[in-house]
Amino acid sequence: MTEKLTVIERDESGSYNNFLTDGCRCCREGAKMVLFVTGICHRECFFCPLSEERKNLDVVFANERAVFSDADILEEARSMDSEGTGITGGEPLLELERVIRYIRLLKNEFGKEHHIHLYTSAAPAADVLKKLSDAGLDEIRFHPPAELWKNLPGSVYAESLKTA
Amino acid sequence: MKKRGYVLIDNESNTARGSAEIAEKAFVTGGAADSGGARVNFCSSRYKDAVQLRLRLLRTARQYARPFDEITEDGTILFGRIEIPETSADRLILFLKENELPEEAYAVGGSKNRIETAAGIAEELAAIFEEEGTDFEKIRIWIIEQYPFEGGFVVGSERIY
Repeated sequence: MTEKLTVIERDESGSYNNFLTDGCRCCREGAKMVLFVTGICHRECFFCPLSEERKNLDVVFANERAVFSDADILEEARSMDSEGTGITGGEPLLELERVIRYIRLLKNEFGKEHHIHLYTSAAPAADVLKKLSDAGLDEIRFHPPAELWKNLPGSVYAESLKTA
Repeated sequence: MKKRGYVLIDNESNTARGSAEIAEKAFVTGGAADSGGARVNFCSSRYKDAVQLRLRLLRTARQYARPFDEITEDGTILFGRIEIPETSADRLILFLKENELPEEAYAVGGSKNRIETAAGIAEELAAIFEEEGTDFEKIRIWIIEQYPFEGGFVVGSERIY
């Protein structure tokens, strides 16, 4: 970073940044489909916003559409003329094979420029990261648990982040 | 979150009080070039609700809208709906054709008792029926605003005839 940031430029919603990933840029256009791959998660983050219809249930949603087959996902993506997908949950990496299948499905259907990012509160090991990256995942976002916020350096999260 | 003392800034948003200030502190201490230059993005809940979701709805509306649907700035669609007994549907369609309404300007529902068209045309019809009366029995005209997908939630409906 060479430029000095002295002024925070806000948009009308009070948001600002000094850097936006491709995933964020796509989302800001409203062009990201939200793919909820499972409601199961073993953490109990105090800020978890999931509804009763999703929390700790092994259900899949593409935006607000309940997913019963891969075709449902593609249909939802087409209906919003999606340019990318954000994979979330629950903890997506508890269903690694499902996540990889969906990444391949979307990339096969919409091309490699269909931008896919994934949220996780796990600290995936190098082999998992490699599998995800080989399947075509473009971006990963780590949500380490609150207990670790003060001691991130040296934790497994730091290691995972570095590898990613 | 309530147990931990988080409160909303108002009743119209999902914004937790103090969150924007904490983000700003993090931006200044970590994001500025002279203090580490970390890459920082603060995406407010208001952005998610008001901008991102609205834009997604707009994209969906552009994909879904029929030629006569009007897309609102909220991403919902606005159109007119004529409800008529199935037995008079063909006569009404003939009436629309006689008035030079092209085929793409309306859509006939599966059971034929629902004909949907542009809000403006529905208003015009309602005005004509109001003024001249009509021999279409039990005809009702509505202006509908709904989310842009099959069976989308109806945000508003107003009966105009």
